[in-house]
Amino acid sequence: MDPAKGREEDELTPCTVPTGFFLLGLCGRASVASCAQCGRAVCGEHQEADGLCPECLAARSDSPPGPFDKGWSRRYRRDYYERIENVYDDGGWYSRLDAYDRGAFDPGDSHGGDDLIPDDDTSFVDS
Amino acid sequence: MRFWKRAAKRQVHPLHMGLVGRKQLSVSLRPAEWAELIDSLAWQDAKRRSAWAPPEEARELLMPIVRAVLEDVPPDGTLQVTTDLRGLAPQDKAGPRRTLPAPPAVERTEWYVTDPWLRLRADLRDGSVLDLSVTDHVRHRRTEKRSRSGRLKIKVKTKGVARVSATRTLPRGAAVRRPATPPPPFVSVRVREGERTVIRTDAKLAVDAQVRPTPERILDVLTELFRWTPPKAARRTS
Repeated sequence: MDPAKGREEDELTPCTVPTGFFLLGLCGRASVASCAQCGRAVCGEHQEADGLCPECLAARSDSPPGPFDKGWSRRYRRDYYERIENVYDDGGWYSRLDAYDRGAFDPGDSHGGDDLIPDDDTSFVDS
Repeated sequence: MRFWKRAAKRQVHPLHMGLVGRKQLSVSLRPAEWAELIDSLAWQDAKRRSAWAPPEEARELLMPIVRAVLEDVPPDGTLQVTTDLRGLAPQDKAGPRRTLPAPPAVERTEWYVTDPWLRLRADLRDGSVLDLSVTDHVRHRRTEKRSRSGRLKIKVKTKGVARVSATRTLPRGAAVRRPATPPPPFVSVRVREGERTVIRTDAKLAVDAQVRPTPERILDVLTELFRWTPPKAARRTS
């Protein structure tokens, strides 16, 4: 693949890194690269060491980061959504996060403006 | 002061110094400003035996809540935090003591300590405003008993609750939807619909003189506020 063409495509593709804690969304800034592991489009702010997206970097680390560490929020958010599903007995709650996290891999996802935000029915988890 | 000490001190954020020195913080900052403060705390937290190491309460109690909420604050929004991490010991938090009825040779006194250790207000990126307050109320009962031999026995019992109260004021015209499942028994919820709908949750969590509610428990209470709006309402991203 022509590197220049690939770079141009990256600029047209918005960053699909999930953002927020309670109010989930996708970053949406112009991407500058793709994650070396999952292929998700990432912007300059979300490009981490080794060309990984923040989610892949958080998954790679063995020890949980402390609350002052940069990657702490992402790890904590994943743990929180897994735990809260049991506290509230609400299966739809975890699927919110799952929809955003997997949204980048949805082949039918049109990457543009508000369409970045998946609706309830784009969830991959049956409720 | 030696040069290296001055150099080390320069890198400590001024609010960081206040948090370490007084265990108190009252600020209203934008996310980028919070990031500077958290960077400063992280730098000192990583060092062993640092004089500027953040207090344990900041690491275990305050930071998880602040960082979770900060994720939903837009770059031009603010997060206000007023916290007092000194615990229950300061005398200004204790109420008046009163004497309870007791048998002869026994003296019983009771007093309450009220510790409003966290107040938080955040402008969220969907246009709503989040308010949170956490107050510990601990009852102390002290019994003094003198035996015939003149020996004095003292026993102090404590019992407490943390009251967690949170509201989310939605933007004008935002729709609410009753969640599919009720909240857990320890969370109560009230919704006041209007031009700007307000969702309020309250919870009473058991605590004692040493143990505060965990940040996870406080986030559990906050969760109910966000179950009433469908994900579509949270559209604007960073």
